[in-house]
Amino acid sequence: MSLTIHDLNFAYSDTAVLKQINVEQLKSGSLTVLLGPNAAGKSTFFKSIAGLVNADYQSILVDENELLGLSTQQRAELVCYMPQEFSNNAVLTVFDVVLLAYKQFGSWSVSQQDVDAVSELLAMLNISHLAERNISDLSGGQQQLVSLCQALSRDSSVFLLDEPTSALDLHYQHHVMTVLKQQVKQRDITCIVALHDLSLAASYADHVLLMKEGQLIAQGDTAHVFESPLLAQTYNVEIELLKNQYDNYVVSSALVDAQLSKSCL
Amino acid sequence: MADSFDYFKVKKQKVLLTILMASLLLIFTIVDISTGAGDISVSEILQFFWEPSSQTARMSIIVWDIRLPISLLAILTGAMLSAAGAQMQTILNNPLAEPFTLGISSAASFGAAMAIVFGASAFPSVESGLITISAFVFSLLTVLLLYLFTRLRGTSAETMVLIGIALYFGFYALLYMLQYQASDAQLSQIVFWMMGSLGRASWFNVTVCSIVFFVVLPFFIYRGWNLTALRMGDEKAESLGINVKRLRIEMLVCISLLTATAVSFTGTIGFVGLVGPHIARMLVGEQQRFFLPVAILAGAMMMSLTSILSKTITPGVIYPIGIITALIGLPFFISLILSVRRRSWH
Repeated sequence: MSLTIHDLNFAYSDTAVLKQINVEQLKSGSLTVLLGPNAAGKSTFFKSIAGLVNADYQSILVDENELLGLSTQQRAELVCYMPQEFSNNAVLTVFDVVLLAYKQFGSWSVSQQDVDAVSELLAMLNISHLAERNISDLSGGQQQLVSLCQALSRDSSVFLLDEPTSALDLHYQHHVMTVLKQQVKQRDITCIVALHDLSLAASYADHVLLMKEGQLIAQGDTAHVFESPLLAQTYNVEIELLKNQYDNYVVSSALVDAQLSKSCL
Repeated sequence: MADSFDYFKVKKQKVLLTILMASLLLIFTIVDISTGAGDISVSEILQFFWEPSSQTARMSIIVWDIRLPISLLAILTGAMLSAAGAQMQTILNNPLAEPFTLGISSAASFGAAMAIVFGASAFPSVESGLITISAFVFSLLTVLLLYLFTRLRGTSAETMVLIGIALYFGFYALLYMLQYQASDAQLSQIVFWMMGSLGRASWFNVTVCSIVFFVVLPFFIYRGWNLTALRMGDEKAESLGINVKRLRIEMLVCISLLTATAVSFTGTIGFVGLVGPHIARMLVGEQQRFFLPVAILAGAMMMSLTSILSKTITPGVIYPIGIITALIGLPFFISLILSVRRRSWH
């Protein structure tokens, strides 16, 4: 399975948000991390693929399937997008919330099989103990895990996860990335995760997409992108790439203007 | 699975609650039928249904022709308004929404007033039918207007509420204009119509309401999971593959049909459509599989109880039901808010 994008453009009224994005065949079974500063167009990029905004593109291929012209439901069967935020004032338990994602377009009744599937997903992210809690009573991080559970309940070929670790503590950041990596291999899916944490990205990504001002300025395997000077330029910081004892990259960064960073201290 | 959460146990509790409510509704209905001028006891009513051979002509007329249509219309309008309110709150993502939020009540009132002021003099023999039809046509007109506006401006909850409020005030202005010109007799008829009453109940009304209710219900059930998902926000719902725009318009049509039908037979009955869903939400949460049936039962129970009270407050007088709904619903609703914590809208 794979994802290929040809000439994707999107503009809000007159402001171009995505400019001529081409993604070479992203192979399934590998984890891709999408990097880029704030307002680089990462979320819009995801929404365009998922069909939540009317973007202009020549073609988006999931395997041999062209997304152009598919209905919202058909598209969601191929592409699962997890938004950064969701409304959490619903009177629904965590179990209900994951169940509703799993049962979407399914039958009205809930079988033992459905319940088992949802329980398994909750267990995968270590949140079984929250099953009965109301979604609105959870912390931001817990809600994020539930949202990820919802995404993973889908049987899609492509997963687009918008900053799934932004509210998580260190332990859960690694837990989530590990689970994602396992799932990507196990289900043989294509998964793009938008991240802000470069070290986390470097440790888990097989493949990196780098965006800046609506353009895809670099793509390739992790070492290739991380070792290019583009990364530092994009974020406008000084970057030092270290390797820790587990052979993971650790990214040390500092403001370019050392004088400025000192003056803030 | 090591976790202690047992979905089926929770489900069983909710099903039991639903059965309990349905039983209570049945009891209310029997009491409702036995209440009123004519001194019929509950046991006589039970015997009446149990042993058809014992039916006397007097009892037959009282029960079949008068009491039963009123009781059934009470249950049906309660169920329809509460179901409509539940889905209105869902699609507008607003706890204050109710079936009349988008201007249907004012349009129906205006329609009824039009028929009372202009129609009655032109076609006196079919006056009540004319009022019903005119109220129904004008309620559906608001939906059409709303639909046209959403075609232009999109279907976000905010847009719909704003346009709905504009329609609400627009039709009320027209209504007041009519009232200003109406004669005293017409004016009192308009006011009485707007209070809401079960006095116009008949088997025809009951049949029409049943048909509309049971035609619309499958749509709610079919869209059950979509509607549950919509409570997590438009973007989340869209990301799960739901065509939110279509869902909103579909539901709007269903809600309007329910509301317009109920309103044109009974006049505007407030509160049920607002509180019924809230009671359901507090009791079973917002998963539509439980939310919808419990909201329907809660609305039906409230109206049935209201019907009993409207006949018993002053013996021999039947108060317009619209006046009583809030009076009986309010204390119960407030006690629920105080006793059930954390289950309400946040």
